[in-house]
Amino acid sequence: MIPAKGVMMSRPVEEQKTTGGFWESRTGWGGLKHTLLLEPLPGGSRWAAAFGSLLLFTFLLQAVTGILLAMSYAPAVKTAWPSVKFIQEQLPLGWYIRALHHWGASVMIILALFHLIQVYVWGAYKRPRELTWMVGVLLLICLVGLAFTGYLLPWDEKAYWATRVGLGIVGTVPWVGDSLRAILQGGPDLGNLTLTRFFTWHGFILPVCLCLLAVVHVYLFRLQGVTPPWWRSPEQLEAQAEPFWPGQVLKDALLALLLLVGLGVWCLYYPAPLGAEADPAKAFEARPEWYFMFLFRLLRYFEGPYEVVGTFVLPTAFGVVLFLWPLLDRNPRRDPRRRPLAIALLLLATAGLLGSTIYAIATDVQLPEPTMAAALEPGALPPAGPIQALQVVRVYRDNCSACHGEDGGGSPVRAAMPTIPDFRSMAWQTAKTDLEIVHQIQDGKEPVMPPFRGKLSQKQILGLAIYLRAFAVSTAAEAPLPGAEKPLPAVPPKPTAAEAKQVAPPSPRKTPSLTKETQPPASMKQPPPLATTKEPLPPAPQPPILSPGGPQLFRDFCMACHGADGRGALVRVAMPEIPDFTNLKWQSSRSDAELMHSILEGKGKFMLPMKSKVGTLGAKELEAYVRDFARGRPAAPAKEPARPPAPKVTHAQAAPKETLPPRPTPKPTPLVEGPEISGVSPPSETTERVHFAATAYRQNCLTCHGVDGRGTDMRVNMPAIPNFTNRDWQRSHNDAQLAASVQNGKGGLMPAFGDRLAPNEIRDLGTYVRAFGPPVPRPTRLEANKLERQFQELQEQWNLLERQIKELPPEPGKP
Amino acid sequence: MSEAIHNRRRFLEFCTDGVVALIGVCMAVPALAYVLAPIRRWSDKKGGSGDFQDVGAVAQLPIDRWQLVSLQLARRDGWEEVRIRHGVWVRRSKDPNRPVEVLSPICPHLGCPLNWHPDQAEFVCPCHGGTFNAQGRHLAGPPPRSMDPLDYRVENGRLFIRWQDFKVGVAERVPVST
Repeated sequence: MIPAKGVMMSRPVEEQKTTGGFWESRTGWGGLKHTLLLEPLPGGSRWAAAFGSLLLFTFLLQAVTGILLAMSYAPAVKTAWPSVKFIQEQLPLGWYIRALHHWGASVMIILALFHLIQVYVWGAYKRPRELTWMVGVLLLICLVGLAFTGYLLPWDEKAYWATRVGLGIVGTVPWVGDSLRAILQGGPDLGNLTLTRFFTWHGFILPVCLCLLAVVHVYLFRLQGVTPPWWRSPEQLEAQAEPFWPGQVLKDALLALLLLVGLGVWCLYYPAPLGAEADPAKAFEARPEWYFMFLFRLLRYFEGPYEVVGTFVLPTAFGVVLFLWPLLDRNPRRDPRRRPLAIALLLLATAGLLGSTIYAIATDVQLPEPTMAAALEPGALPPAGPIQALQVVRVYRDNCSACHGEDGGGSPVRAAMPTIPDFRSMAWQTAKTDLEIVHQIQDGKEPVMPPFRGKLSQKQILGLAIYLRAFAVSTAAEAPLPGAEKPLPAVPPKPTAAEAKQVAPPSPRKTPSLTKETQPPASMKQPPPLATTKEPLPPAPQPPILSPGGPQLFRDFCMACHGADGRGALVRVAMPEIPDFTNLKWQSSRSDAELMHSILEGKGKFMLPMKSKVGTLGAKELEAYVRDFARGRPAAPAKEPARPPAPKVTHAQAAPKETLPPRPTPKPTPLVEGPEISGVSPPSETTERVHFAATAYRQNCLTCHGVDGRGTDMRVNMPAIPNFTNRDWQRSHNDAQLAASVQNGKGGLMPAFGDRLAPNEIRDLGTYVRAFGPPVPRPTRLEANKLERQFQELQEQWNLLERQIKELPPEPGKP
Repeated sequence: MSEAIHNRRRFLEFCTDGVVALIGVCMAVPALAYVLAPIRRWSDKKGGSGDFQDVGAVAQLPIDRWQLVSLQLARRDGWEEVRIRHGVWVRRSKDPNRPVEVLSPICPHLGCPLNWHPDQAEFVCPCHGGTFNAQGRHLAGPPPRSMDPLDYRVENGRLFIRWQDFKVGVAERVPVST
């Protein structure tokens, strides 16, 4: 089509006019072309005059790509997203056509704004071209309408929420808002009828309006002639006049080609985004496309009855002023230097729009991904934890994020309230105890922080207090492990030492004690907060580099119940459904996918979801490890590192521990152990034992009792699980009782660890559990010999207990 | 108009044509590739369209009478998996060597659905009047060939049929992938 036209066009004009050949006599093409293309342009062709044509070209591009997309698009809730995905992923070049259409829309908006500014500067809207301008403004409105309606069609999350907000904005229009919204929305809610309506607007009504208006626009433009440069005299312009064809057309076409190639190359590298299918049940950080961002941001500043100012009054006023501008600006001059007011207004508006767009995009904070994910999928967190049950994420958003920001940084209002805390700051996190935070939420902090007592339930407030801790997690995870000790007083010195030890090349003899001795002073000064303060609510993602591998993961998360040999014998009494991994029948009855699912999402009453703890990668390794049981892998390796150093051989056996990779998530061990251990430089043997106790806790107890010893996660299924941080509980159980419980199990659910841990290990574990208790009544610093004495006492109690046990019937499961 | 100006103008026109043509090509190539893509899928004649489908027990079919049974196919249709049903003409005979006959109901003329008329013992095309005898052999009218038999097999007393589309309007039987 186009080349053929070109061939005809290339005939010399005179020839066509005079001869009136075969086609001319039948179609009148020459005459039409003369009217359309050969009218002289005063001042000749100019690059600067090409914006209008470029816009027309981009419209053509949008029309072509839009029609192509419409060939494979089905506007209904069930099909919209799948069909767009089909276009994107299955159809040959579908992704490319869609990218052209997607990015072409942005290009068109930019070009339209350029065109508008240029016309304004040129004074091209002045007499006699007022109508051309007004039609142009209507075209711009059509364009915005197209952008808005087209945005919904892919029906991905972004589209859904942006449109929801857009329709909400329409609804705020005074008097007719609801009707207007109903008309646009088509149905009772955003759905099938909205899609079909939007598709009709986007594919039929608005393009037709745009075409008609464009015809009028171009007609008026041709009628009045191109606006000549203001700096040329009429005589000069007359002298330089040349026809539209081919000079101006060539310039337009060259720019169009440049644009097309540029856009084409861009689209090769940046395919049009397609988010997850819209699911109103899921939380989503709704954001409009960039060209609506300023408006989006603007709406933050209007509240309550003034909302409508931002949503309706200002935009409408702007549109009306823009539309009527030729009538408002009565200054007949076109030279920008002679109309300072108009140009000042333009600069102001441009700077305002541009600035607010950039500001809105630059300061736009979205919830960090891990937190987002946690908020999205309940499965990502331990089940039925109070935090999830309370929907704390939503509570935070509804009540706190306006000031404290989605990221807890307080950025939205920091300018006005410099004292607003940054929840991401470790310094702040460590300076505040849970209780302080709870009080501050409850009672507020005058003058700016309002009290939430009465507005939120006690549980919600507690949940929020814990949730706030999560903001610091990502930063904590990023901090290099060995370097963590300096600026963060609360980062426990003990784990740092342990970690440093683990990271260091294995030198079993000296290193531990050396590192240990350098550490204590820091911890002496600042007693660490309660164990809970560290609880990583949405657990920090595991840095992939430090993937600890199947055996380690198994020891940390599975061995407590499934046992080192994978048979799960230890807890079968309490949890009859626990599988025996060495059972080939069981192995073959479970597909890999099922296994992965159980690991990631949990299973039954007691199997906790590990998604947030080990990640998919870790789950894969675990799965492989579990599979290995069927091949008769000896259970020994799982147990080795857990074996505590017997006091005499501590150093010799310490070596295996070096293999423990550093765990990136904040650990309870250091926190609770901090005060006791670090008061003095204890002999390395003691540190080893404490370290072992920490490891043993992690491997055997943490799954149920939790990092903080509160047992929160398991309480739903095990109501009797104690809270180790509870003072009364600590008081009512003496060390011997603790040891007995560990040794023999307790109630229906606490397994007996007697065959897994040695008596002295059990004793140390008891001491470790003590550390969860309230710090106040306990001596904050124990002298080394005091600690030793305590161990001595424990030892005696233990011996007594052992004797008692010996007299009881044989222990279950003892090898 | 002087020769120089004329030449310059010719040159500009030539350039403009070239650029416009280039734009056209840039837009037309991906557009055509997108629009014409189905050609390629249609033209690779794989023949056959999936597996044999169970249509029921042979014993339940009436003897020596043409019976329409329905056959359900799962097919990937664009962005979703759809189930489509086809009717198939089946006749059971007492002959143990050829227990059933299975004929496609699609008229080989232009694809109308054929009907069995027991009174005249013929298949009749409702569109253009083509007729076929009780064995599906072409008797009269415009169809270029006899009715198309479909592959079937009998297992454990159940009849399995494989659906197949054939190109219509031609004398030879050419499978068309569906």
